[in-house]
Amino acid sequence: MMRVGMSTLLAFLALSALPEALWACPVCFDSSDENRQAFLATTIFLSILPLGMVAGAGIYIRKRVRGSRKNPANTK
Amino acid sequence: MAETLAEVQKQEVHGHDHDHHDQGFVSKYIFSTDHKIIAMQYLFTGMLMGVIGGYMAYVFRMQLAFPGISVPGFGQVSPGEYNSLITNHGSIMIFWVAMPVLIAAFGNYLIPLMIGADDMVFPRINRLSFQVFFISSVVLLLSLFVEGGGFGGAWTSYPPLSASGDYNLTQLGASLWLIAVALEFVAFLLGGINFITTLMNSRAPGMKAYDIPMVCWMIVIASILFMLSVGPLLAGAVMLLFDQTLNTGFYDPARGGDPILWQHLFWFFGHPEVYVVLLPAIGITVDVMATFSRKKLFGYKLVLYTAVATGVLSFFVWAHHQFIAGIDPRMANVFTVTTLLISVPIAEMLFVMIATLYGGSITLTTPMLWALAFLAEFLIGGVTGIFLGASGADIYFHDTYFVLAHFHYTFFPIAIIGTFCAFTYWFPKMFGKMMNETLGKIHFWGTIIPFNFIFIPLFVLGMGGQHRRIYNFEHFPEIAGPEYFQLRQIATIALLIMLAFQVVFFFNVVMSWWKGEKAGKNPWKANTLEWTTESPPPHGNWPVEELPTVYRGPYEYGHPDREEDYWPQNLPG
Amino acid sequence: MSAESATPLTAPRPAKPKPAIPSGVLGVLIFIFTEIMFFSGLISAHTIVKSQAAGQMWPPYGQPRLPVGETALNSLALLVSGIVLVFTWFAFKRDPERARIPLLLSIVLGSVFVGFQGVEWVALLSEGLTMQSSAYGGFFYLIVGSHAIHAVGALIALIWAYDRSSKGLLTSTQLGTVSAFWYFVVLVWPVLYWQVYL
Repeated sequence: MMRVGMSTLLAFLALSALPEALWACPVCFDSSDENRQAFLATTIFLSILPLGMVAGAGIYIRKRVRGSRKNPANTK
Repeated sequence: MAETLAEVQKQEVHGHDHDHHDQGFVSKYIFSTDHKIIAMQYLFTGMLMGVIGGYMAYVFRMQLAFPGISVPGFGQVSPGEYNSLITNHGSIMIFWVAMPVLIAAFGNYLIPLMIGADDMVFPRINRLSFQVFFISSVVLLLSLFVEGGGFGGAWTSYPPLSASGDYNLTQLGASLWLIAVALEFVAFLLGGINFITTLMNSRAPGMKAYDIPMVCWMIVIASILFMLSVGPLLAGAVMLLFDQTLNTGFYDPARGGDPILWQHLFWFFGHPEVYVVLLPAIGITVDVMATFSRKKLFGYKLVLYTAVATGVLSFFVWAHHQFIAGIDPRMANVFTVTTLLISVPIAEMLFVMIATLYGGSITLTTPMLWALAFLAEFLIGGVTGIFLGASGADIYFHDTYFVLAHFHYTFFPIAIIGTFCAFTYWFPKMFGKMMNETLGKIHFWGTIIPFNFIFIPLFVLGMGGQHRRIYNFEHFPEIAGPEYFQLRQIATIALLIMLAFQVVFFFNVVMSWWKGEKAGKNPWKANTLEWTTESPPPHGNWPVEELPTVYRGPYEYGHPDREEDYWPQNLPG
Repeated sequence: MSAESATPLTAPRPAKPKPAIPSGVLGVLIFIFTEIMFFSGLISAHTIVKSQAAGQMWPPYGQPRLPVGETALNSLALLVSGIVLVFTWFAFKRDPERARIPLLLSIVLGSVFVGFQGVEWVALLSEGLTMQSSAYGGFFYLIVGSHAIHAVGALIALIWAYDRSSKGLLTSTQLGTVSAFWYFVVLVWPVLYWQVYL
């Protein structure tokens, strides 16, 4: 199951990278490549960050709750 | 700060009970820290804003269907006024109706009652939240009457149009609009902190994570989404405000800025915002459906995890608003995939609703009708979204009436149907009286049927290529033919009928509040904790020594071991 | 509560669990998450606008350079203030009385940071870097200014905590709440420094 998912993902990535040069698109290769990359980077950054924070907080609270259930005297 | 009310009340009960009833009108209803009063304040402010938003829709729909007529109750509509009307209609309906009513009003009312708490964790922050919200509403309404008129750059307020008074001709109106929106966000930030903390920390003894009623979960997940997505928009709003007032150049390409930047910051918030209002509406409808089909909610954990998955995905779909704004098409591909993907969890929730209904003994009360209508109408909104989510089709549909009809088919079920569903369901708890069922059903059909007659013609118009932001279609010969105008007129007349039927609703509310039959504690025979206290609940929700304890989940209907078909959460054994 | 009295109490009444995080701290934590997103928004905007000027000079021609070295020293004051506040927390756990001096030290160091930033601003303004002069100047004042507002707010909260502690009223939740916000102000600064100054 895992391997099927992995190979699908790899195939998807390969296919999305392969025909890059064939795309007749005016905005793919614009004058400032750095600007495009900055948009991409900030998009990824802004999208991942909140999920990371919530996941971190969730895991921390879970740990606290588990810990306090095991030895209730330990938490204030 | 937390749990102080219980202690204070304990002292009051033992010490000086008479103090309890001495509050004057102002401190009890205007500057109250009681979550129920604050919920009512939000509810009525939201409804008032809803009436104003409806009036705006009436004015510009009249202009669209009968260009150039003097609209009764408004007069001739100028292009500037038209733009200002559509802008403020959008802003009001999303920020001053959907959010305050669905999240703030019902969140405030239901979360403490449903989890068996005496109040919010931070009652004074809660009061501040409403006060800020109220100021924001006043600022928004004020912005309509300043020199130059209200802001007319659409609710998305894209720069450079919104960034300078030279372009939008409403220097002051634009700034006031932006300030109002920013204040409104601050109000919901304060409210959101309260909701999340209250659900985390003040649950009744015995209430575990999976015993929390779904509507509370949904409001809290929505609040988390809101808290995480609003930051970048606030940053963008500060920059836009500086562009407007201090003459900076953040969005001015001539001075090194970037106008597309605003779109990114706006939609980074703007799309999660859709799910911020959708999730509470889904929570309300699944609760109502479980009660009136007398069946356990199908797949409690499934719904919860699906909602979380929706929340996660909602951070990855926002660029689908910008498919034609010149973003990298490879990025558009990714966002197409995520956009189509997010319809999976939403569809899953709709299937859960159907599965809950399946085989239940359904009672078609007014709230149940609203819940069913939500399912039916939101389905249309969701399905038409698939067309817009695909970047190829979106190039054609972008900025047409198809988009407009699509998001009204999602927002109307959320904000209007969801609100009426919740309002009619919890009205007995809020006011202690039953609503009139006959009037309720007249209002229901009088709203649902015209609603479809408004927006189905707009789908057709959109597919005909009719652009969204046109003031007078007579100026565009190729879309001014009689067949188009007939469709526009059908939509407008349906709107008039729908607005007229809202009178029935307000009449019903007033009459039921005044003369309705007494509701008693639990008129719907529901399980959740709010139905174990008086209607309306007293200050502190329960007498201190009777604060409830929870023994089971909220959806134990039709349990085989019990004589009654419901099993309240607080009953031991 | 008629239903409750009808059935006898068979199951024992479950105890109310202690919250995993005290409400005050949790509230501030959620607020901090929002603030992190706010600053991320600013930084993203700055990154994008900066990238547009690629190939050209950044900072733009004719704009003064930022005092990188002096600010680095100044940042040290802020970081030390944060570290001192950590010691305050442990001192408070042992004896609330002993927490007062480190708390005061932390406040003083924080104020030094804010004060020096103010002096720097005055100098930069006189050199011709204003919000209107370029996108560069705009972002500098916007980002550093937002941080300064947060720093001032957090300092006021710390002073409030000091006032409480000198009256012997400070609770650990209150100290935790206030310090959590100050840690946020301290920890977000290096990121901003890296993005804006370097």
